[in-house]
Amino acid sequence: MAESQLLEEKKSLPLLRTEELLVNMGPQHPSTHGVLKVVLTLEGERIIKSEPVLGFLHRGVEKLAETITYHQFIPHTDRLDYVCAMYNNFAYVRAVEKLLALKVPDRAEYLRTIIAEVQRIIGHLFWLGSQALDIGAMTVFFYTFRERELLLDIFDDLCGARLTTSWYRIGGVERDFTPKIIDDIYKFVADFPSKIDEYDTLLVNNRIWLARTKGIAYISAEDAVSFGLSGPTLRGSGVDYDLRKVAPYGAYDKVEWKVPLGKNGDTYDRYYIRMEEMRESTKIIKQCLDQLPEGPYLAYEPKVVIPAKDRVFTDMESMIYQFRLFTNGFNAPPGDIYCGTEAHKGELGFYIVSRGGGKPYRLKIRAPSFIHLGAFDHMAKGYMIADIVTIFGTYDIVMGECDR
Amino acid sequence: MTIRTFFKNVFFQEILKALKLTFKHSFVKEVTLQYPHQKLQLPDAHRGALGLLYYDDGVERCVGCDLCQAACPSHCIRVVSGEDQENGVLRRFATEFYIDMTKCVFCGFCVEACPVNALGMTKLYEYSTANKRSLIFDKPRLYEVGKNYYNDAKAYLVAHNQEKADESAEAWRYRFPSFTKQ
Ligand code: SF4
Ligand code: SF4
Repeated sequence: MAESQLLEEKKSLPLLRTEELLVNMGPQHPSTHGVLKVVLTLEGERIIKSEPVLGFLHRGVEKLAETITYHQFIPHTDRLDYVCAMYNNFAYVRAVEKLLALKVPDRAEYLRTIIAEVQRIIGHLFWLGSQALDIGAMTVFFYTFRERELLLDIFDDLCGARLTTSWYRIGGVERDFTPKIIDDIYKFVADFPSKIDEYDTLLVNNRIWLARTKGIAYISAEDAVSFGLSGPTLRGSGVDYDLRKVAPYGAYDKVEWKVPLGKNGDTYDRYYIRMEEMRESTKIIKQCLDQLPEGPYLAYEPKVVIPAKDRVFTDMESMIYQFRLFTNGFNAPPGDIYCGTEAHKGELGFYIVSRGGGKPYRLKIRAPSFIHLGAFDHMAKGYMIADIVTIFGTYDIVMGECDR
Repeated sequence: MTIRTFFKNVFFQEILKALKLTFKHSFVKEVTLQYPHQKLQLPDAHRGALGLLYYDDGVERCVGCDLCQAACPSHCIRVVSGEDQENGVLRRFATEFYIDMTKCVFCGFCVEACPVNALGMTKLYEYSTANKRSLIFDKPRLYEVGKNYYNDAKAYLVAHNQEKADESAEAWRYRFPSFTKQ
């Protein structure tokens, strides 16, 4: 679409000497959400080629994983996608549990699902605020951050940190909900749909915002699939693929919810999907809280799961396991597994190769942001340079996860 | 274009709607805090600076077992353990204890690992300094933090299921036979 338009325009131009212009955007550009550099080739104001340059935030997390035990890697996953630490924890512990074939107690599954959905709302709020801010709508940013703050306070109450949570554990979670946390989440869930309507009022009627999102960063369903996109970026093109439905985990198969789909595959549709996902998330959270079963929040599996402290104090065996698990880690069976989890950006996967012992032999992170940047050139071609900010914003990129 | 959409477009109805919403918000209760003057009430579970704790009778809890050093994912703890013999009773403790606060990621794993609950996380977060070296907390500094913020650390341990709030916590204590502080 955009390319043919470009050709048309080229033909109608008079014979002037034109030349391509190379522009470096980033790594310090405020709208690149981290340190991403893009080399843009421009013809007039049109983008004809864009080349993302990655690696400014590379910290060698995958290599680091090989030097520490499985359990010790949990805090490091917080720093991948620092906006949504809980989801990284979740994806990682799920992968390790799959490697160990560990069964997680029912209550833990529900707790995990609730917090994962809370984290999804935070992620989408963050995306919405920053995307609107990039385009120039500042108010939305303040409003979304107000709600985000409420949720982060719940996290603080739950695990003691707002962003670097490390709450998930191999075999369950670190700490159970207190009645106060349950109340807070109920209260939030009751209020939140009206807040979503507020954001809608500010944006969907605004003709400037519509002009800057409708038809921008278009990708067709086939292209989206072949580029390996996932999450709202894929579903915006109308592909019904959500890991929570396709390969249910947690308590997602025990509650009622829908996968919202777009039609046009542009930024506006992705916006629509994210808004709907937030509404669905509130439903999931509410149902999970209603159904929350009683029981332990951490599996009792002495060889693998860190024992409860009162056992350590009273029971010699647990004390020995405590020492073993914190020094050498558990003995993972050899083999390799891949486990994908539907984070709010897309499919976050962990691929673990184990040769036995307490440390992974190789750990590979399939970060959605990284995969999405692969399609960047394809999606940016033919648009005006002013649209580049929208195109960045459309994927919800976090460079911490992209460069790892 | 119908008359309605024409008027909608001419009068920028969507902008007016949004302005109405933002205007309404000038009357809601503020959600921000004026930080240095007002402070946030932190929850008990909050993971702040680390401190080493004493028992109620003033005996150092830490037995220098090095487990926190092994558990730390960012390798920022260093423990040198020692022992001495007093009146024929063996006593173990950490002669030196360093936590590099510049490397600490506040994960709380050291607290989880400690078999005697000697470490606790407090609600202390204001310790920024111009001297980077002073961020390597040594043993006296850690015990000082633990002493000044004992209630926070205790609340943290209880909130994170490390210790019970009742008498049984005392029963779990590792006592070296007939050792009392001189
Ligand atoms: S809180 Fe975590 S990073 Fe900090 S000293 Fe303890 S184990 Fe190490
Ligand atoms: S603080 Fe706890 S884990 Fe660390 S050396 Fe002392 S007793 Fe051992």
